[in-house]
Amino acid sequence: MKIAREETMAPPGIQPVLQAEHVSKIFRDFWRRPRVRAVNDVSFDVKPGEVFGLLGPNGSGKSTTLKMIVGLLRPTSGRLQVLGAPPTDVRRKARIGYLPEDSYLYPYLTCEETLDFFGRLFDLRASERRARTEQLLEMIGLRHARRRLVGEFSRGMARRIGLAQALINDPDLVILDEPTAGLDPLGCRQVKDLILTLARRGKAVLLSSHLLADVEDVCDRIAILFNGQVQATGPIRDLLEERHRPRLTLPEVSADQLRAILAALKEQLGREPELDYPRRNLEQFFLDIVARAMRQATEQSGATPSEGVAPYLSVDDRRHPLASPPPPAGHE
Amino acid sequence: MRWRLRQFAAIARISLLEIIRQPVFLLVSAFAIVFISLLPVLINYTLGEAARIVRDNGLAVHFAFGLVLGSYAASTTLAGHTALGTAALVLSKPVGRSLFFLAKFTGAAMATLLFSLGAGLATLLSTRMATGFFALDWWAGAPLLAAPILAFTLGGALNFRDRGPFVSRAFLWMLVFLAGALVWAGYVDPEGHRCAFGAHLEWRIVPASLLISLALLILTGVASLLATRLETVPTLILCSVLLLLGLMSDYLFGGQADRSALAAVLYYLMPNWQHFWLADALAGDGTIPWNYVGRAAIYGVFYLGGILGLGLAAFRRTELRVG
Repeated sequence: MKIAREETMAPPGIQPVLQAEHVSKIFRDFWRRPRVRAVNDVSFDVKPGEVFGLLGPNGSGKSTTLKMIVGLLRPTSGRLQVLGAPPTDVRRKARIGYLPEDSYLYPYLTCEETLDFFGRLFDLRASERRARTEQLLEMIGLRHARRRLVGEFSRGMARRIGLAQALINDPDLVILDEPTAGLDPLGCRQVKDLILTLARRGKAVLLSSHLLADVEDVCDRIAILFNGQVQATGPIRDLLEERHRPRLTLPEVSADQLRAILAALKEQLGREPELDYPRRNLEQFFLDIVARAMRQATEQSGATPSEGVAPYLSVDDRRHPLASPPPPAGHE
Repeated sequence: MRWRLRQFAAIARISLLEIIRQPVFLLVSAFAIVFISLLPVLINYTLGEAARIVRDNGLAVHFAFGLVLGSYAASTTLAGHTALGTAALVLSKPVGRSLFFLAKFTGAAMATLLFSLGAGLATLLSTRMATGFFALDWWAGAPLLAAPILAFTLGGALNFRDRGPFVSRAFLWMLVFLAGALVWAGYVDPEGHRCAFGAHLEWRIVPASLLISLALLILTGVASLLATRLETVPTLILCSVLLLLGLMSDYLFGGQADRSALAAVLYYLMPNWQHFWLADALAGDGTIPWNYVGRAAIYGVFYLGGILGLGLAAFRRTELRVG
């Protein structure tokens, strides 16, 4: 299943789920002297139903920004509002799902225990935890490995568990730091479909990635960071579109028809138009080959393919993340 | 509030599982228990002193290995998981830092107490095994020596059957088999006849074991405090230094306390392990009064409270850059 990105755009005029205003972060040394300015005067916002991408090379401040948003680091200056409260508000975190850049799981817990543990942190009922764990394990293709210790997993399998734990609470704001790192193309496609499904349900997704093609596939808006500063920001379509160079896509035509069309175009333009033929996307080609091989395979030790997104994550309630009354503040 | 309690229980339980599933935990605890169990075999022909020597050495092994395990458990669950990034991941959920720190300490403390339980049971049984003159009481010794073997065998079989974690299962089954061995030995006298429960066991070892367990809890608390700012290796080194200073506290600081304010402060701040090491009080037919155990427990609770308070203050302001 491939979900179209165009469907996920947030309606205009809706209050942001996440607001960063002139946020800076300076790391200091043992003597409290400034050592590195990791984030410098960064401002952006993310609205419900929107997929926002943070791009930038290594050390550009993406992960530091995400850690400030989930309250692990404190901004040196500026203002951060997450779901209408500062990131230090512990109760707001019940509505956030966070996947860090590495999965950071307990190596001596099994898959099942890991998801159950994170479900307990969100105070999910036992029956709900079991149901969501089942659905998530199915979604990430690790149902057969439910009793294996997470420490024995490959990076890609650990990444899948990391993604599952980020979604156990069906969050309103999903923060994904390099979600497709270490995943095979099949896993990447599933993650991208998942992101688009979440956005269609009105969830806000903040995504950080080095993989530009992935970002382009799913993001509505992006901000490009370099040296801790925003270098460019805006809707991805506006940033990438070259409006002065239109491209025509024709339906299936005969050779004679094509010659006639090209001749007419040449007459209008005064020069020969460029002609090329669309190629199959390598990702789609790979997925087709793997799907065929999987139909023939009987047993696998790694992740197995799954059909789409966990049912509880696909419920099309389209509720507004800010419509539900905020829980009482519980600053830590 | 109930949610917080459930979170606390979940984090403490997971911390305990994480600790007792580490191979090093099983290796150290099994080595200590097997060593205590073998003491009667190693220390024989000592003209009636065998039981005393086995008891003293059993308590010493309990203390020494418990200190290593307690500080290792606390540092690995806090400093280790902070370095690994799991602490940051958990704190990105609706979990307060105070709750997280206290739950982590509780998990480490439970692991330490489980080890204490095993070492205490082994000491009780091995002392009984060495009670006779020039002969070992195999009615207590056989189940004691069989407990680790059975536990490892059962853990391996269960791992083969359902691929469950071998390490924690072997450890927990070892405790179950040791408890079973105690019940068996409690009802059987050295001649193999049925007797009133516990008639031939040295129950006065229990308060000595409890005092050692209290000392181990304090050291686990100290290791938790250090682990908020230091990594695993520096935490272990500092805990070792603290152990040595605490053992020599009376000699190093107690004698100078009247003359030097600094020595007095250090004397009162340093955990004095001598309060918890009362093996000598069991010499002859000596016993440790329960009111002494109670007073030591009060000292331990207040000391631990102070240490954990400092740990909370330190951890609340820690920035989790890893993760």
